[in-house]
Amino acid sequence: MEEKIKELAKKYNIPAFLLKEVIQMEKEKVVLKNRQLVPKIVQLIEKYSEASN
Amino acid sequence: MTLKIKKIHLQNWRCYENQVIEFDLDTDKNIWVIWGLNGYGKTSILEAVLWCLYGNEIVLPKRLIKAEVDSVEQSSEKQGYFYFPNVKINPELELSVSLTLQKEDHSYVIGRVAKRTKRGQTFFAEVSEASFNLNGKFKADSREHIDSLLPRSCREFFFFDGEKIKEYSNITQTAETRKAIESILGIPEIINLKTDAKNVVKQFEQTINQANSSNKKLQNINTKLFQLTHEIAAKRDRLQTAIEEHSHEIKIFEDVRERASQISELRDKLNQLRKLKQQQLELTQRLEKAEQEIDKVLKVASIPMMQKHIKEMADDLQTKTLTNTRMSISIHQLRELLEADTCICGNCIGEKESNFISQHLKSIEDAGIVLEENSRIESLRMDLKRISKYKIPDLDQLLLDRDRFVDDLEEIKQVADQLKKDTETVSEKETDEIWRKFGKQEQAVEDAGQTVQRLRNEIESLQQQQDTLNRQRGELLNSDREMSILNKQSQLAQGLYNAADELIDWYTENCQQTIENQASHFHKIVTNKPDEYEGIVLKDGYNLRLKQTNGDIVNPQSLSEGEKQALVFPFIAGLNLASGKAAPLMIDTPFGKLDGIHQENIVKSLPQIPSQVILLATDRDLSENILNLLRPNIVQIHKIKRLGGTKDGSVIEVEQWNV
Repeated sequence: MEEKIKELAKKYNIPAFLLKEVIQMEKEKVVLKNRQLVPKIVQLIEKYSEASN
Repeated sequence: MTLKIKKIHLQNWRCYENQVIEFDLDTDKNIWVIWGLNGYGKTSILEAVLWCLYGNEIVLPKRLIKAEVDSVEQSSEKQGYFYFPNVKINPELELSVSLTLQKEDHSYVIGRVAKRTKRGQTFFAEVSEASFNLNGKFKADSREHIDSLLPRSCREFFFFDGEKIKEYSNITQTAETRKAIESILGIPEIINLKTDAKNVVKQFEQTINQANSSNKKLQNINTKLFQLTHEIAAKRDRLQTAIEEHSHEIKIFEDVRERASQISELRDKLNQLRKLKQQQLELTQRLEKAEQEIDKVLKVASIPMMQKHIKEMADDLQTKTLTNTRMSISIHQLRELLEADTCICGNCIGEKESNFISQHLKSIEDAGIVLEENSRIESLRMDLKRISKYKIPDLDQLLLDRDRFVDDLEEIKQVADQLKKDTETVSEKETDEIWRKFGKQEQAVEDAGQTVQRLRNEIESLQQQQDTLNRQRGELLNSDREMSILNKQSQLAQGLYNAADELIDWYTENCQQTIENQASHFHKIVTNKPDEYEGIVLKDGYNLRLKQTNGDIVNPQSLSEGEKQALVFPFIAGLNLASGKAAPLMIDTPFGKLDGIHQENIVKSLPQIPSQVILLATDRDLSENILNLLRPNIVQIHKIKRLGGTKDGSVIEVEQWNV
């Protein structure tokens, strides 16, 4: 899984830790019907894009 | 990441007044045994665990108390799940089951309570919703949390009765179980990731669109991108449908091929039957000939017995012929004497003697006795000689041959009868129809496959257009700093979505492959026919099938009960390994009706299963031999003892023993 995440991150030009972090968030919230994760993912993306600038 | 049961606490549950069963988890072994005789309360423990997790699905409230019959008067009778000695003291008794589970540094405590409540004259059981605590913190939505740990649809894979396990070989075919298996494998979170990433992409698109509403060129590109996105989504839907149709056509094709293969097999049998009929005919002819030979031999059966006598007679006759010949020569000499002109001896025959000899010679010659007799005797002698030279046929060999023909015919008849029975269902018409269908379906599979490929190509082409437009848009957006950041964020969101999309297919396939590999590995250990089976394969999702070494796929329905049981164990092990979060296995009567070889094989495989294994067993399940095999991997043996007397209950003690 770790290797695949790295491979996909490289292929789609995204940081591997962004993908990993979002997967972890999804794992924690998977049991809930209302996960409300979209705003958190947006925040994460904003954070990573700022960091890369 | 193994989930393990650390503690089970039963209060007023069936035969247990207040029982704590603690499992020592400070070990690298994986087997615990709860040992007790029949009726001591082993199954009550399994039932308690299931009730604590899944509540009314396991035991209905009215079964807990037998409410329908449980009036105040009847309350003094032992019934239901409440610990009876205490019900007598306190009719409004409360029972509870609490489970403590551990996974790495996470501790889960799940509890459920039921109380006897009197309404009017009748008692009812009031059952609470389960409570769920993670690391000491109460969590709402206990059902969802329990389901994420141990999905109810797959509970039979964690807590089961060995005698019923064979029934589970087809359980993976229900949609609910498939969903639960995917949940164990962690597939829903990746699907959720894709959904959320899609919404994030939309959100960034909207922000960009709002910020650039005045840029006409950008708007044009956005409109085209919007259209392309929808077109790609529509094509993807069509692709999904086409893939499903393709799978459906393949399934039909496989069914037809299987039937065609059966028909082909039947055709071979028909040819075999034709050959056998020909052999039958030939053998019948040879049998008739053999019987004729035997008849013939029996008709002349007396010849061999008379042969010696006949030979003697022939010899006698030959002697007589010689005598007659000599006599004939004497007559000839006498005649010459009579006819001679001169005599060389001193005593010449006188006229009187000469007349006497002449008279007798004449009478002999006239009668032709000597010659005639000689000729008759010679003829008779020749006949007798022929008979004496008669070669005695080998009657024993003839009889043996005849018996062999009869046996061969009987054998052929039996095989032919079986073949006739096997082939009576097949008709030429059906054969033609199946082969026609086979060809048609082969074409349908090819057509569906081409549709899938065409749609994939079209999507790829649209995605290339999308990439081009995205680049153009990026160039436009990058001319402005704020837009440049937004564009980058949008691209990250799109990348996240694409990665999630690809991850789902890869992960699902990877999990199935892992289950197949691991399950096949365990099946090789467990089965008593390792040379016949290549391994376990999953068809159309998670439907269990066995692959034979000759490549044939076997549906578990056609397996024996023992083989079904030997199939489910490896699947559970494979599922646990593929999920990476092995669940505990609690097995009542662990070996069911398995034979000794299967039992030993399962015992050998248990230490390799990456789960905590709790066996609820009697001495019948764990014979001395099996227990000795297991001992090196047993952490603890919990023994159930009866209290007896007025207490009418059971207690559990940990057996002290040294490994």
